[in-house]
Amino acid sequence: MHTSRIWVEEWSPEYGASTELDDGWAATEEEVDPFVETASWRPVAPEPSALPRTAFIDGVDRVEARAALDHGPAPVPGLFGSVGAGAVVVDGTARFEACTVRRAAVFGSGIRPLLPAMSEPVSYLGIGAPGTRPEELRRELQRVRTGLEEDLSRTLAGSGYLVLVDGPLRVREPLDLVGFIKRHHKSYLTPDLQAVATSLRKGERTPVFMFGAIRPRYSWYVRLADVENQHPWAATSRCEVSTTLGLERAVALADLVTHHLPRFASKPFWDARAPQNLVPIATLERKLWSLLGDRQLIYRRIRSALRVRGAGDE
Amino acid sequence: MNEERVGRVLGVDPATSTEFRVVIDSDNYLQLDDLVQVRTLVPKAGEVHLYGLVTEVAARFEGARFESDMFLIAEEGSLPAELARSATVQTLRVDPEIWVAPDPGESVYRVAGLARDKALYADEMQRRLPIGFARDGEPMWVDLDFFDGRKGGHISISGVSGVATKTSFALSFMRSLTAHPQIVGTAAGNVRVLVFNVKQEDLLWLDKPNTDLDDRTRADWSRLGIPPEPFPSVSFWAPPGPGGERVPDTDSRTAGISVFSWTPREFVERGLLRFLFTESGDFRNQLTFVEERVRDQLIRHAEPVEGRPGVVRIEGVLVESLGDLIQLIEEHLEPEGFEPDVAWTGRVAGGTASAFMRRLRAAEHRVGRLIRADGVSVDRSAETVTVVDLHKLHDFAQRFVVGALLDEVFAEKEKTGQRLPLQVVVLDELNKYAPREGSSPIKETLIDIAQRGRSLGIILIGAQQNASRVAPEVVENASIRVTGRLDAAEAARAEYGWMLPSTRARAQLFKPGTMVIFQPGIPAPIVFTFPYPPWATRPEEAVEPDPFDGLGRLGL
Repeated sequence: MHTSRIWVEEWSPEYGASTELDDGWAATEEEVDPFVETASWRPVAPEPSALPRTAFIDGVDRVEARAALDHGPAPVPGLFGSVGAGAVVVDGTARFEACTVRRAAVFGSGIRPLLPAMSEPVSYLGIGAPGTRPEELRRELQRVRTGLEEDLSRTLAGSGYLVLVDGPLRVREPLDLVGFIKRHHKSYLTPDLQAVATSLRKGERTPVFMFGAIRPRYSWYVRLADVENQHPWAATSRCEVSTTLGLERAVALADLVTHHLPRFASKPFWDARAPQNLVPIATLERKLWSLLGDRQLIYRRIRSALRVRGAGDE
Repeated sequence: MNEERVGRVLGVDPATSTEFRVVIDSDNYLQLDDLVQVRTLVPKAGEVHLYGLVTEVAARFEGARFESDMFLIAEEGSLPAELARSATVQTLRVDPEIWVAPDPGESVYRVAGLARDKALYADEMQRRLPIGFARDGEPMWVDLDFFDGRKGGHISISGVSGVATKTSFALSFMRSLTAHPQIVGTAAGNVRVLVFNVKQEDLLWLDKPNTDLDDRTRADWSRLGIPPEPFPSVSFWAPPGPGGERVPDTDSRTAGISVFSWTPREFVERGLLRFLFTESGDFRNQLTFVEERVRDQLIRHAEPVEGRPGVVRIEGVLVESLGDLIQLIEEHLEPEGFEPDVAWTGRVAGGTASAFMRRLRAAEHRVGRLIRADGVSVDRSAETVTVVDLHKLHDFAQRFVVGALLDEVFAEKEKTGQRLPLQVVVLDELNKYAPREGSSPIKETLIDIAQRGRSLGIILIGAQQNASRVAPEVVENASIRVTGRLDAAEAARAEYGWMLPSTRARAQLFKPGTMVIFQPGIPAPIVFTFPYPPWATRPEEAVEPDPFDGLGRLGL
């Protein structure tokens, strides 16, 4: 009989799993240097420290309508979508900061059609996408979102905040910017080092390792909460910072972030993706969704605007 | 106009024409009873103004889902949330009268000046008498048309004894009425107020300034247009002492108090005998039947006595006191060795006649001192306010006095048939005189006053701890209802249906001097306060004017 244990995934099934195993959790193809901080791998428990002014950044995007443009022999596909990005700033109390919404109409084949006049707050910026496939259009919409997120990260980090961004890090500058990756897609460590990561306790991290050729990053695993009867990677997330910061600053940030992250971890009753879905980020996401506006209402506005004559090809 | 914005109309739940909610600006507040205004643009109709009253306020964190989120927001500081404060507003008035809901998002303003007058319908009150201050610190009024009989009459005041300040309000109201002849109009001429003092000697100082009055209270009275001074015209009446001496039976004050009583002749001719049978069981036990026969016989046989106006001769017997009268009645009802006189008893069972006599003998002890050959009746016309002290009398005697005086008032007004001058009667413990159950001559007089007093110019300011214990005819005929602190069980009764749920809940917490008033002119109960009386309410507060004061001015 097979004696391996079976764990039930803590996240609600509709969100997938915190460890995506569909591809068998392939090892990363990037070069990994696990020994940049230390050669002897064991869990690191950072010294307690005061929480600096911290900002959590996240964004959302949503397709509101699919469209097609009469243009030559075949219709050109397009979409109307909205994105939102913003921050939760924590310095004693938590509050929303710079929550912004942008709306874009993305059409394929690089075409920017003449858009119907629509009144604020629902008006769309025309964008041409290189291809015509749905995911290519969607990627263009997401680019608007990541643009907002990156601008906001730079602004806040530039004005003295420790910034945690939901998702992988895209900014290369030497700023106090930490990417927070809650879901594991790839393994960066060899099995013997993985054992260190799975033995972490709440508020502990692995030593800092480095990977990435084009965007080199320092990274570490951190345990957000002590959970019982969960698989070894449960409640463990990965953080990354740009190597442009230098190793010393990276290690200092790793200690700071690792010490404070458990405080922001969500509880299972509170969030379906606990504990990795941090409380400020989960709340920010809800706020941003609500700022996008009622989807059905916006859909109706788009339809009625398109019924007006004159809208169409440039 | 310099308007103070307080928030915007909420449209998360539908706003309606009668009730809507307001989200309050972060730098302002709304509290219960605040008056607000919204202007909303109605297609085709133009601008409609809605005036309303705050009936409830609420605060919550938006974005919080669990109760424990409060720790994340307020303690950990990790969960952002928006503090949302809102108020529920009940519409008081729509101008012009197009009943629409205000548009969500419209600005909401605190009312002031003319807008406040509109909200309280004060612009439609021809004669508005200030009675105190609404919660915004501005004057609150009573529409006199609903007091003096033009469109309505009577005031009913309820509340827990001691903290509801029922009598104080009634007197403050009368003070305001007598201080504002220009507002009251023709009804102000020769208005007379009859007040019964039933507890301690609280009302025996109405003519003395209150030493405890501070400058702020003085200023409050002046703001109401009332000089912060005691009643200028009061007469005090008390029963004679139990020993029969002609001195007022009072403790803390005797100077300036007249003694009242009735002569045997008045007692017989006016049929005051019936006010000795005012218990609710008397009718059931046929005692009132006997009383009616006896009363008729007394009147039939009474003859005046030359040279002695207070005395009466009945069947040759000189009646100089209640004792004489009782003895005379006894000879007809329970003659020794004879059958009772059927003309006097009306063939009731022997036991009934005996019960009647027992009551009379008991009455002699309690009421006897009020019936005397040299009796002087209460002169209600001498001064504006007439205070009749009852507090030292037995309950039985109190009912006799109240019954006899109310009957006098009613008979007098019925005879003249004139509404003016107004006669106001202030009577506490109405539940004792006009109880919900049973029947008695006083209750009938009070119901008569409640139903017909409006046209006769008799206005009843009735007070009681619990309106539910008073005859519904009396309470329901009062156009103006006022309530101080209420007992929780009492507040839930149908008699207070005019109160809003929030007012009912709060009426249990009212402090002395805070009351809620409902009058036909304003379709919602309004909470108000009235200032502490400028007259003394107990001996310690009374200042005796210095007898030598003024000598300096004369140059002595």
